[in-house]
Amino acid sequence: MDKETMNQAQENALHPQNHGSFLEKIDSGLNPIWLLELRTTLRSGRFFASFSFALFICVAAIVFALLVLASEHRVTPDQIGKGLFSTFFFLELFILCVFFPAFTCTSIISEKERKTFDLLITSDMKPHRIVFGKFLAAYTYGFLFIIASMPIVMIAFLFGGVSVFIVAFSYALLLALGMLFILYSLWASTYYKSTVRSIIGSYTMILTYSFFGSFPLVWLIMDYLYYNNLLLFFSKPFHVDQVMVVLIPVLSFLCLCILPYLLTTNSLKPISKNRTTSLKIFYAVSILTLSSLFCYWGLNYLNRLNIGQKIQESNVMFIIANSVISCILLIGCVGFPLQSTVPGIAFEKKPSLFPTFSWLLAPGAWSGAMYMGSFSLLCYMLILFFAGCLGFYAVGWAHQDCFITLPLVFWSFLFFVSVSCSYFSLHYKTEKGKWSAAITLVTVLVVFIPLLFPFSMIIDNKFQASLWNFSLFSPILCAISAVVKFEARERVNMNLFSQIPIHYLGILFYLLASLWISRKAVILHKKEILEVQRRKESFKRLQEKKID
Amino acid sequence: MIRIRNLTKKFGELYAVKNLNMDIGAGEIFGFIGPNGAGKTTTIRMLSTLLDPDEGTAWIDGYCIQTHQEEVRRKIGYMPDYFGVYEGVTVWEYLEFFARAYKVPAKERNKIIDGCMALTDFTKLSSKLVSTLSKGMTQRLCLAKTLLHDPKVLILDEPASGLDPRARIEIRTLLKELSRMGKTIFLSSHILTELADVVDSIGILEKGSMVVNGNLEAISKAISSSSSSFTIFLSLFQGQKKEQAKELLEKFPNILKIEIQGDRLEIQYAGKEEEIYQILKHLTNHDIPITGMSREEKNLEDIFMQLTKGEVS
Ligand SMILES: Nc1ncnc2c1ncn2[C@@H]1O[C@H](COP(=O)(O)OP(=O)(O)O)[C@@H](O)[C@H]1O
Ligand SMILES: [Mg+2]
Repeated sequence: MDKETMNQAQENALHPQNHGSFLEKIDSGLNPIWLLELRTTLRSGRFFASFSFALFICVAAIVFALLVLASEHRVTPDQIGKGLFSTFFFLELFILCVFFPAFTCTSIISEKERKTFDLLITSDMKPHRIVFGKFLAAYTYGFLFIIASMPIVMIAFLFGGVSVFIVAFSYALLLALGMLFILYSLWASTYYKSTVRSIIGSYTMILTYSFFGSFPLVWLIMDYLYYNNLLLFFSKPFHVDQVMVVLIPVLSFLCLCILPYLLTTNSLKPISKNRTTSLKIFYAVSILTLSSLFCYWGLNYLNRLNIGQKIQESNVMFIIANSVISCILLIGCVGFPLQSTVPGIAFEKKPSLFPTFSWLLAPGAWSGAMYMGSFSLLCYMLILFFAGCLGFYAVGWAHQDCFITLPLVFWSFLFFVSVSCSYFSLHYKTEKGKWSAAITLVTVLVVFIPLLFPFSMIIDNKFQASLWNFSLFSPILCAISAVVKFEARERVNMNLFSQIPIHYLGILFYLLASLWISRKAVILHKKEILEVQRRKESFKRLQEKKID
Repeated sequence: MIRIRNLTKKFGELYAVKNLNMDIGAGEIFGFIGPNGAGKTTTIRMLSTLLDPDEGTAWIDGYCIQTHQEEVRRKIGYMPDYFGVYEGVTVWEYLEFFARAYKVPAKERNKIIDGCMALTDFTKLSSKLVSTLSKGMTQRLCLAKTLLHDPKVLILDEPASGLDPRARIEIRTLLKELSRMGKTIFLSSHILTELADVVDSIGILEKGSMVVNGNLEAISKAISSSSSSFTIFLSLFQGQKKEQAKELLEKFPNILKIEIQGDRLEIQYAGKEEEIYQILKHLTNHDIPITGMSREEKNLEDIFMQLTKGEVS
């Protein structure tokens, strides 16, 4: 091979004549990081050792469980099968918590520490390609770990009492949970500044998560195993509950997965396109929202156990629906307005009559609000459509009269949150106050989101459901609701608003509030505008110099 | 090919790079020289889009490093001063990884990897684990990696530091070879002599500012002509009559200093260059047995020492 042919080859590479065969397409579609990680990890003894160890734990525990179960008096094979299966499920959860974070919790920080990161990032790999490669590699090992336990589960089949459905369902759950864990520890590997911190951080996160998250999951499986119920609201097939209950966990799962993925990708972006401050605030809010949701979920089960009271299925369903929709809204209204990099020379826009105001809404806030507003509208229509079709009405919430006004309240609320988030991010940027991020977070959680609900509810006799809906969006109210007994709800008597068109009041309130806060933001923004203009001008001067 | 305007980077209150301006033409080898902590790495990291400048900007092949980062990354081959490698893979796999990362089409990939390996002498080592390579080989491997996507510009941060003399010569030959292939090479070093015979032009950086920038010969000429004195060495036959010669010259105009060094006289002469022969004429007229005369050539090291004060910002 001499230089001539090499030059020739590179020439060809730059100007490909034909697109090549199918196999070549697949080959070029392979993620290089995935290949590299597989090559290095699967060759190492450490992977093999941990894999064998995980399998060994599985086998040992199953054998132990078998011995214990079989030694009991008057036990049916059915019960042995169920016992084995639940042992297996717990074990896999344990393995998930212990091994999965290890796959990715150092993957990016260790590249930085080994000084391979600069080469990687300058090699024309887009951040999402890097993140996806890392994720895919880790998920491949994770898949191996989970699937390898399959033969062991089959032992449970020998005894019966376990259906194919529950096995498939629990595998799906485990795989989904594994995906979450891997993504979150991948995020930890970019967030923390050293390997040790990243390991500690990701394990703390995963363990906290699985403490809250696995609680309902285990109940789900146990309910099905022992009472043949997939929780209460899973129990009636082909009812509207069913649709929502499948749709909502899937949606919130996707939300949960997208968060760390975006966050990781963002942190790998070049600085001028980076949006860390905004994303930190935003993601912290959504993570807290979701974990308080899980918290509420768990508390409900505790309540159910202790008081033995039947939860109103429709209540739970709409509580979850609310939370998912507001989570999506959050993504829209908090995530978008903070995207602009201030001061940034990359932000090029035609000068307008009111530069300050247009910046406030640009480049993301306005479009974000529109986009998310239509999305929420769609969600409502879906819910109302299903509900209406099946003659199902939720308590105090989805009334057909409010079909138009409800989204309007949401939209104005959205605008309000957009503007106030702009204000907070601006404040954070100009004052460089460490605490303003925390203040924003607390304010959004404790004030803004609960505020939405009094204004969006329907006033009839079933006032309580809506009032209690917002308890889960604020950790404080969540805690209160844990203490207050369920009966207390019936006694809440708030006829105060019953004669007032509260939706219109809400719209008015949010618009006025937006106006007020945008005025505050404008003052702050003037400072920033000057800085941006200064940088833009010096940049322009340079560009002109270059042309000369 | 590379155009830098008002490039500035601050770390806190410290200006790591301050108002840097320069142009590097296509196909040139540019040596970027400065003592440790002068801001070379900072400049290079800005050029390779790893750091955002605080002020000013630069263009590589017409693409701005701030607004067209992806294009810039495709144009350059970057080798950092300190870097790690993925240790569990072989040389070939390592290069294949980067070829894939640069989206080299599958058809050409093997050919290009083989070509790069041939150029950097890795053909025989292709199945060796990267972790077993020596520092010099790793350096060469990284260079091979930078060539995979046929970049127009190579940006190398201290490519020769920490290498043994042999490896250093190999790298230098390789650089010349690459320059013949038409690549613009931007390389940094804190040792000027290391680069003397490869570079076309140099820029000397100190405390973040450019001290001097331009063609190597032009710079050394400019410095020697601008400096007010020459150092001349006169050798006398077996050191005879050196006292007498010294006395004679002390009365000669434009002579600043005379020192006897063994059989030689060291003379600091502040006159015109074309009048140096007058000294010889004067001495030979008095039968001083001169066997040779030499002038101290300003070498790069001296230029460097003269231009930089060795202070670290
Ligand atoms: N990330 C950083 N944070 C703070 N100071 C830095 C950073 N990087 C470099 N510096 C400072 O900038 C100056 C220039 O450093 P550098 O560009 O690495 O010098 P060189 O490569 O020429 O030896 C040094 O004084 C160094 O301390
Ligand atoms: Mg350096």
